Amino acid sequence: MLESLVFSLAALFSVLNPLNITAYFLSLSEGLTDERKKNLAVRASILAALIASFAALVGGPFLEFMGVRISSFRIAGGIILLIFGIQTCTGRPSAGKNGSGNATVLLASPLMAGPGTISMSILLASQVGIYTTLAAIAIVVLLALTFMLSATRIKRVVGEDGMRVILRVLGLVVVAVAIQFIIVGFGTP
Amino acid sequence: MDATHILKAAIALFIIMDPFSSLPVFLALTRNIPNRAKAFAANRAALVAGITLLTFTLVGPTFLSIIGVTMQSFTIAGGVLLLLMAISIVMGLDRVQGGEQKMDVAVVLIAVPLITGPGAMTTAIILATKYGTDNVLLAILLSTLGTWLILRAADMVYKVIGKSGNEVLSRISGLLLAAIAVEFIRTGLSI
Repeated sequence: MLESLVFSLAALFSVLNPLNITAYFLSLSEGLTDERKKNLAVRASILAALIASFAALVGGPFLEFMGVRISSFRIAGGIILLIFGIQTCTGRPSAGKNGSGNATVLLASPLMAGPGTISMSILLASQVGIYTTLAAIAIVVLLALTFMLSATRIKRVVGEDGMRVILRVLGLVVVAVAIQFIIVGFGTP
Repeated sequence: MDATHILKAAIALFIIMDPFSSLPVFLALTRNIPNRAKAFAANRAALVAGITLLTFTLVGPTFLSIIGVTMQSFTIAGGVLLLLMAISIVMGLDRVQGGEQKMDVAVVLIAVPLITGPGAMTTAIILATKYGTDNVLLAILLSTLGTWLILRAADMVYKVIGKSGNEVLSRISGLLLAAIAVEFIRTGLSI
């Protein structure tokens, strides 16, 4: 039980990375008052946890019913993650500004509970069972929330330029995870 | 005729027609007109969308074989097209650049290409080879019916799920769409 929980945590961590989320959160919440920042972080976290749990609960059976293999879902998730990663790396306006969405939704999905998190939740639910998956989702989302709430302090420590560098590097990590998703997806029948 | 096949095809088509992403456009267009005209607009959009899809499903395969395109190639093409659409939905890019349009024209624009777009047309044909044409024709009727219901109740649906809920639904259906697209491409390439 503990072993599979650690395994799920590590797996989810690679797609719902609190550092990444914090970086996105900082660029999305720029210019908001402290209270609205806090609101944004809390509401997005709840929404993201709900989406991921929902995916873990019904995703697998639904995909099977529709005749879509989980591996195809992984490839699709990988392709979308890849685009996000490239955008982050090249410093194109981070997802926030080119879309029509509002900040809470954007932060919740696709940034927190995006293609990576959703496919990973479905995958984990079929591998380690639903309870462990739900626990792991809760822990990772809470961790991300804690990071976001202390984001302003983090930003003060590393500074504006530091943040930009970190964002680029993390974008690279996202690209790597995305490629991994695509390769593993094609490798599984 | 097989109920499960009909249901599977209907759900796939419904996801691709994605009435939720057409809702904001529909609401924006019908904001200032009386309820009766709204109902009329919804009827018309659903009708045009359904008829276009039905016609295309019936005529499409013959047309494809005349121009010598195999079903495999068409499946791959459909998958690629769907994937691009899915990406723009997930990234939250707007699918229609709305200019000032006359209502009549605009309602048809909601029907084609917003509800019945290239994605829905290719999917219908691909599904027809997979599940049988008769099943898919029924599925088209079902999914058009679902879309029509959502358009008729546009105001209410929007009020219940809200702007955020609507966006989340669109994003998630975009993700599903991407998975269906990859499945099509892999089927076409047989990998």
